Amino acid sequence: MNVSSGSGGRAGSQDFELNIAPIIDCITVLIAFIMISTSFISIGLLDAGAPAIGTETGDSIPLVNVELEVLEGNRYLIKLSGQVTSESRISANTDGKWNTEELVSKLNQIKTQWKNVDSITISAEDGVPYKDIIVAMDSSRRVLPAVVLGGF
Amino acid sequence: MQRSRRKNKKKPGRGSIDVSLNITPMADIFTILLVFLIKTYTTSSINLNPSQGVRLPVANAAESQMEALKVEISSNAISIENQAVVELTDYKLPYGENPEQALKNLSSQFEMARKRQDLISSSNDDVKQDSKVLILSDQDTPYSMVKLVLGTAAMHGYTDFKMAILREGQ
Repeated sequence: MNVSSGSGGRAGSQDFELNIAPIIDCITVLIAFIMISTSFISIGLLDAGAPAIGTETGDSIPLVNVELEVLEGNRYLIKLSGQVTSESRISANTDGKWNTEELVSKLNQIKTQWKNVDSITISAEDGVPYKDIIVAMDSSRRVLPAVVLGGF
Repeated sequence: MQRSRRKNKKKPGRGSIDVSLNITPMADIFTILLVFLIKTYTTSSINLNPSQGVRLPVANAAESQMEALKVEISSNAISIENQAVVELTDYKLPYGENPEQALKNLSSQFEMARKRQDLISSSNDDVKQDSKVLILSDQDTPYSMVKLVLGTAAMHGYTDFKMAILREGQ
């Protein structure tokens, strides 16, 4: 620290001048280190299980099994099996994109009808890109939290 | 030109200008930058950075990073723990490559990882057998390739899939 005593002015007054050059040096090194070592992307994880084992859904066995098939051409196929057997198709929305809103609303209807249904098995056609499966998983887990990946 | 240089050259002493750089605003900027970086800095022992060229899909996910067997699928390779196991060409096995041999390679790597984990868990009570597998796959990977990897992993007891995604808004 460089402390200089001012000679001008009133008698007894001291003029302090802090030498900030070494502090700047330290900060520059610290900034460089942090910028090199930090990662600015935030990676999260989506949970899924294998079909044979599945994921824990509680003690009660669901009366219906919900299956979601991701089809090429931005279409979904929801299949119900067990107590009821039904199929419902969701086509692409007007923009030609995945109609996730309708998917969520259909799954909500199923959830309202069968309250103990917690799991969904998602499978896809071979050519469907991984990002579209993730979109389907992300939308489904809002209603049915236990997601199982199938088709293998 | 030379004349003007001579003219401009100032003699020390009378009339000389003492130039000093004011570094206070720079120190201010650096301090703000440092605070911002420290705030965003995350220290984690788990390195989950995807390889170059791998674009993770975007989604909302609640779970954060965890320790698990890391499997990466890119357009040119399937890697286990950063080691390329199967070479790919545009997400497919290269022309002429025996798919059974590639599958055997993949399967043997999963088996090795499982054996390694068994060995550690048998000698250390704190370490338990883990069925978790971390999947870092490129967003354009066709499901046929993803299910091939997941199916092989499931055969060796890795049934708890954790799909790495980029959090929305990043």
